[in-house]
Amino acid sequence: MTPNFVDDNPSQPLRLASEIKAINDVLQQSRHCTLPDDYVEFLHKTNGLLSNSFSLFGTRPQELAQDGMEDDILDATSKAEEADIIGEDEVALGRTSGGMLVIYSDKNKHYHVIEETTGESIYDYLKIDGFIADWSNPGPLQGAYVNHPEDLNC
Amino acid sequence: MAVISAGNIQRITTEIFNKEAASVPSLEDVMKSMKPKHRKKLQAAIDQLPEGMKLVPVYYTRISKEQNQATMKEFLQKVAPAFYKKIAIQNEKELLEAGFCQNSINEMKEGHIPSDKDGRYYPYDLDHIIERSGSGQIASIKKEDTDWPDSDPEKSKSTLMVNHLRNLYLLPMSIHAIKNTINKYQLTNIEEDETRLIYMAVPDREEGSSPFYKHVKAAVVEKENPVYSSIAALAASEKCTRLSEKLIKFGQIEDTKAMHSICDLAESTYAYLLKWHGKTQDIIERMEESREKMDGSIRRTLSNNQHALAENLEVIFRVLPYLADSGNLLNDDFSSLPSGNMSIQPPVEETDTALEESTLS
Repeated sequence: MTPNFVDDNPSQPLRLASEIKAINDVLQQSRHCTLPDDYVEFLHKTNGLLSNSFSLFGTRPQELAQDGMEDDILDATSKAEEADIIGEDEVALGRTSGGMLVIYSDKNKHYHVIEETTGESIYDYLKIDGFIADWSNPGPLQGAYVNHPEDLNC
Repeated sequence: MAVISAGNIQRITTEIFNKEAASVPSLEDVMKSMKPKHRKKLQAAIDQLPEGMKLVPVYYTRISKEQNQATMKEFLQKVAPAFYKKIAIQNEKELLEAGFCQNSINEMKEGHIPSDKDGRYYPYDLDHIIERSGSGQIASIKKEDTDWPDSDPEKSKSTLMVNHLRNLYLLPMSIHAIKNTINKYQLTNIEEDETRLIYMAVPDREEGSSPFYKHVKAAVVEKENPVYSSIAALAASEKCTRLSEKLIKFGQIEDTKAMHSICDLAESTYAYLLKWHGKTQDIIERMEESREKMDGSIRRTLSNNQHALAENLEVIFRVLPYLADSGNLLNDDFSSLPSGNMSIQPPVEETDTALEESTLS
């Protein structure tokens, strides 16, 4: 999964838009779902996010200490697919403390925090903002469906 | 009918140990039951496992979604900060040697995830050695964590056993992915509450010289308190539920050290054990008081219990291969069992002669 980024674009927002489009093209070709609209909005606010208890992937890898790198969206999705953690119509968007993966599923239009080993969805969210609010320090985990519980069949 | 006595317990248990060690499914056996595609991917992941990690057989019991959320909540809010505080104080030198900067150690002393002076996080995950998602009963049993840092203002040191500090270590993210992959292909389609024997990657605590080992060594709070290993997972499994039942009967033996070690893992089991132990004592006392006029039912109960005890020794030693592999702290307790003060007789016929020959004290 290697998108054709346009690196020479002088405008950062335009470059980001170009990268998002390239990512969506690759995702589509590989039969994954494209990035949900609210995640695209999130990327425009901050191209990925690293916090105490979770990472959200950006269009490019994010720097860690000791020359480490956090995966970008495509790398993470590719790895998760290779490891049979996610399937078609899904995209990997982040990870949490405790070894869980944040994915978006086009099947039910939800964000899921899943166990990598079993694939079970432990937390569900309608919007990425809901996930961020729930997992940000020092806020406690409220459990699933923090956005619109009435919309979800749980 | 063979008589099991204190004199040959050692020999018998050694035989059982060897037999049971041989009967634990090998990794190859486990892999044979997998789909070829999964087997290939599992093998590829195993091949990537670095020095400093090793595979041990562990019973994985999948917990419920609710348990998963509860363990995660406690882990994030209470346990992870305590872990960082603990290692930052106790393992500062080793952390520095492993490449963590002073800023990151200062962060940890405050209970925060380590980051360098530029705010970049380190490529490590705080990982559960016995997997949280497969921890069975210990995902719902709370117990005081004796490793809890004194500096932590948190009043209650009681946490879910799977979240005890000795079950945590810092694991490089790249190795964590390999570990998860190894687990995943052995857990295909596992149902909630289902128990499955898998080969899990755990830190190798033998002395070693690889850089990776140093990283792990630096981060694991285990110098004085070895981690819970397979036995914790066993305690959580269906097999161990049955094992516990048998261990309860083990209460007839005077030396209860091993029972207490096991039952420390599950207070509910411990309480049940004591109850059973009391009942057994009652029977013995009644027998002693009425030795001259023992009725048949008491005699049968005693002889059956004695026979069960002999059987239980087999069950107890089934656990030893796992303990041995994982260097569990309980291992020593178990290894002392065969020399305990006991005399065991096989089931007896209901005759006065057999009763007279039985030894209970």
